[in-house]
Amino acid sequence: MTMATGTEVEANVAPEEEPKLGPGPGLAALLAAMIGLLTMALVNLGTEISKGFGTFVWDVGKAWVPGAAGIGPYSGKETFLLIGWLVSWVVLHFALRSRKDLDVRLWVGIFLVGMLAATLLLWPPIYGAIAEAF
Amino acid sequence: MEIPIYSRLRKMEPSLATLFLIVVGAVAIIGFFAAVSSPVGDLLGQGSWRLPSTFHGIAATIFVLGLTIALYLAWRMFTGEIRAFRDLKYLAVLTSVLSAFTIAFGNWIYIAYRAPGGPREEILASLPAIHRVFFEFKEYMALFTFPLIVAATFALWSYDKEILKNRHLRAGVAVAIGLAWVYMMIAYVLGAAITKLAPV
Repeated sequence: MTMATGTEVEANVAPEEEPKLGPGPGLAALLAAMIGLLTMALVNLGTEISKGFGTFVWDVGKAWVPGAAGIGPYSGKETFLLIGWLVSWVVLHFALRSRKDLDVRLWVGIFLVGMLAATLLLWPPIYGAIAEAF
Repeated sequence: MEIPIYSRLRKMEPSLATLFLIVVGAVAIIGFFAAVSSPVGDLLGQGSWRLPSTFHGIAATIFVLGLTIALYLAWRMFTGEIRAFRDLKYLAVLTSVLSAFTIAFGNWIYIAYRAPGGPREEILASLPAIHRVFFEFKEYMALFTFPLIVAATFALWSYDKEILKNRHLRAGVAVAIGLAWVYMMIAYVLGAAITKLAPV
């Protein structure tokens, strides 16, 4: 492995050239991360609304997470994060990999809005208020 | 207009080798003073959870260092002026692994946190709002780091320097690293506060 040095110019690429690989795989990776985190946020909200759903989520965690009995439904929420993330990544990767016509700016914007939504949905005063409304 | 110092700063980028030497040097200095001033056993603590909690803290601290450097390089990528692109690629891999380690050890000590008579009971009895708002938020924010850094790592290695040709995609990947840094800092700061309130 060679190390880059401060004087080495590595990234000298002309901005007008199009990359050989389309933007699909990169966007798929970003969007899948957002989908996984949104999945966890929604599952967490579900556990706040329904105790039965909370028990189900915990059971899912107990099925494979070491020490899940000790960490509670959090183990199941982690599981749903992984499922939402990895399944959507595979699906989006194959759906978008050869698409060269994607509006990258739009999809990066959707990624950011989704990240904001996932963050807000996991802020306890917000998901607590939504759960109370049910 | 060319401003000499600013122009020089814009062109400067530390190499991974330099950063590695700085980190090793800093750890050696801290380690030396810690070793001569305090028995190692006392540094780790006395509880039965001392080893996983120590590993969690060490992994989290190295993660903070690594991702902070990656954040700087991501900013350089965002502006399209990155030179040490290879450094960013390797740092992305390193921080992905550190995120996974920190989360895994965090899961482990979460058992101690929730156990009867553990910090959770203590904090719930004295400061319930702290547990409800800050700890619960922290435990989720820590998880946000992993998919974001893995996604950035995947993009950096798949496209390599070609990613610099797509302004919006490179911006998206740089922002993902920036977001991961924000979530990591939320988890790190709240984690330190909780440890201060009621250690495992």
